[in-house]
Amino acid sequence: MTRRALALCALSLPAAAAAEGTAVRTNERLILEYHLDNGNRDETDDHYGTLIERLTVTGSAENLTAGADVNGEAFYSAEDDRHVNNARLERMFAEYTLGTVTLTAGDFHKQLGRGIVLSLRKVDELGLDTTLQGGRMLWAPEDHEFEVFAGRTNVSAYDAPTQFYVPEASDVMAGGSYTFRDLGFMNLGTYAYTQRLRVPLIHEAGFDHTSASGGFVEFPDVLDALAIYVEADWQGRKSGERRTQGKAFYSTLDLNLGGFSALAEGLLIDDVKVQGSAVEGSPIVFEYAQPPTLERIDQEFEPNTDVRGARLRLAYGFLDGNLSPYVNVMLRQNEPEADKPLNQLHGYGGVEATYQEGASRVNVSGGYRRHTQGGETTKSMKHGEIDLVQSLPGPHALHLTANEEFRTLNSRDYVRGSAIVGVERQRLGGLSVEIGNDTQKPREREFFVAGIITWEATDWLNLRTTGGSQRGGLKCVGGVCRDFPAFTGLKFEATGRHDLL
Amino acid sequence: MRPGITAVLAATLLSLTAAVPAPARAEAAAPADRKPVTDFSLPTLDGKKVKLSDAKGKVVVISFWASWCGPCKQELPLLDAIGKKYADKGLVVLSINTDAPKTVAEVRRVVKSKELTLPVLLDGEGAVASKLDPANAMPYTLYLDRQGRVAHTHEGFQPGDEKDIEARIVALLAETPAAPAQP
Repeated sequence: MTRRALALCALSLPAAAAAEGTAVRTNERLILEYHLDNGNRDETDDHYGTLIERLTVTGSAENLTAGADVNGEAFYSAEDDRHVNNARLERMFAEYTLGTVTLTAGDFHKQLGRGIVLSLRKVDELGLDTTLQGGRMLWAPEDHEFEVFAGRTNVSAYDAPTQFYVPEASDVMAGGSYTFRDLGFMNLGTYAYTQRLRVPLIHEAGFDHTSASGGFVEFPDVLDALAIYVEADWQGRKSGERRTQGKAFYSTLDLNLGGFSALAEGLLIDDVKVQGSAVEGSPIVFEYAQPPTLERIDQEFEPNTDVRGARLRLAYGFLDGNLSPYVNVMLRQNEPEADKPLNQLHGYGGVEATYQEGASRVNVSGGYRRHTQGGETTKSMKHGEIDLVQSLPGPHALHLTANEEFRTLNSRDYVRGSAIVGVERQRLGGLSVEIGNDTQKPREREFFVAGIITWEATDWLNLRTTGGSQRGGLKCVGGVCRDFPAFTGLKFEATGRHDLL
Repeated sequence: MRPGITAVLAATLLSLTAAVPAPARAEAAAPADRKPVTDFSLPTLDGKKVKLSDAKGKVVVISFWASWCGPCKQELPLLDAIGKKYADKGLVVLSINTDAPKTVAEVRRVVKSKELTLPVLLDGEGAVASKLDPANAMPYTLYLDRQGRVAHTHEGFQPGDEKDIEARIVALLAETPAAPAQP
């Protein structure tokens, strides 16, 4: 079925190109790296070269859109045999719209509600990208949207943090959703899907599978001041010989009165887990959901499968919103039914400002985070951040981004942070220095310095060169965290966009 | 050379040599070289639905952004102000938000705190972004002429860009007079 769908997509690209009023665009990213000793005392990730190629082609004509991603990696002198030279057709799709009906064949991203029971989407910063490869049909007359979909999960075959080849999960999914939008007053949605894992946990116990359903109600604009979102989900799961049921509840309340804004979030996830097949030889656990975590986007967080918590963010905008101080408090509890649940508190505040008629901006923040378990503090962190863009005379600007975290883990103190300071010139590029420090592992490198040159060569070509050493560590984006190794060496990156037809 | 390396190098060379000369910086592509974008429909933050084709015959600016993107929050108020200034000349500014579930709750706060009035379209699955902004650059702005063809694209925002933004829009608005209103 999959090969037929791919063949259909492949055929539709030239068909799109041949039709009247067509457009075929490419987006290309080429990365060349040479890795020197990154100071982590692991010689298998030193002294090798990498070429990474990412080519996206999208074509459209009338009601038809088709696209393909061709990706490849090549390694020079790499010791670890998980660095695999590979070139492949990673993604392909064709989408046809006829009136209120849209048909898609090939790869597509899929999310249900706020992603608690299903979220297959891109997380570029972490190099993660999972699609559903199959087909879907969307019928969207006026205020209604009906959708059915089916396919197998298609995970990007390259893991960015480790640069290892990732075998396919190929888990099968099918589901549908219905959404009702009533002219801005209220949105209602309901959805369900089922998933069968390709690789069972225990072969003798038969296939593992997950089914989930849920719904939401949203009042997007009550009296031009209030927005409310409420979502409830249910999940049934069979893993090996164990059958479990999970449930989740998520709500936001967003109040905006004059310059004052308050955002409250509540989250309850009771044993909801959406994982793919465990693939032999791969360090990755395929996660098919990205629930809200109540944390900041780049903040690490504890597992999000059995948790309850809430957060409140208050802000006030002065000077037409150009000056906005804010405070945020979050409380989370992991495994609340356990003997010693893990309690997390995170409070922070700051101020966002734009000035010089929007040409300059600054965001300064700081806070405190603490984890306690059984009455003892297991982890704590004091942190401060600044993001400053100061417009200078002429087309120049000074850019400073810095963060520093003073951490304690199991009674041991360490410091981690980085700062990037540089000068940017409009329409040309920038010159920056990145300084990093990390004292968590005393036997490894603690101080990092790198130079970065960016050049906007043309409207369609951006170049970036990095030389030196950059701090690694846990990187979290959009509810997913990955541990990146430090980098030492030279990196060249070119991103180009072209109109072919 | 191993087959894998050969294939990657071949794909690289093929795509690089496929590049055609780009328009000069800050100048629009010649009308004959412009290509249309495919139509799309997305829900908005206030619960409505917006189709790109609803703005047929107008100059359209599409800006991709996220609540955690500093340059985006700097650019949006400027785009909003320019949108209001040239609305009666036939300009439509659409902002497309790409926040993931984790941060989508922040979107309304940003819009309200910046007092934005432009339409905020929600592309949670990245369905439109994957077609128009596959590199996921943020902010990423497309400028469409009255025929719905891409005249400019621009990645990022730096102080001084606001002058270029307005200049591009003014030039596109001046290209052809607005079509007379249908009775």
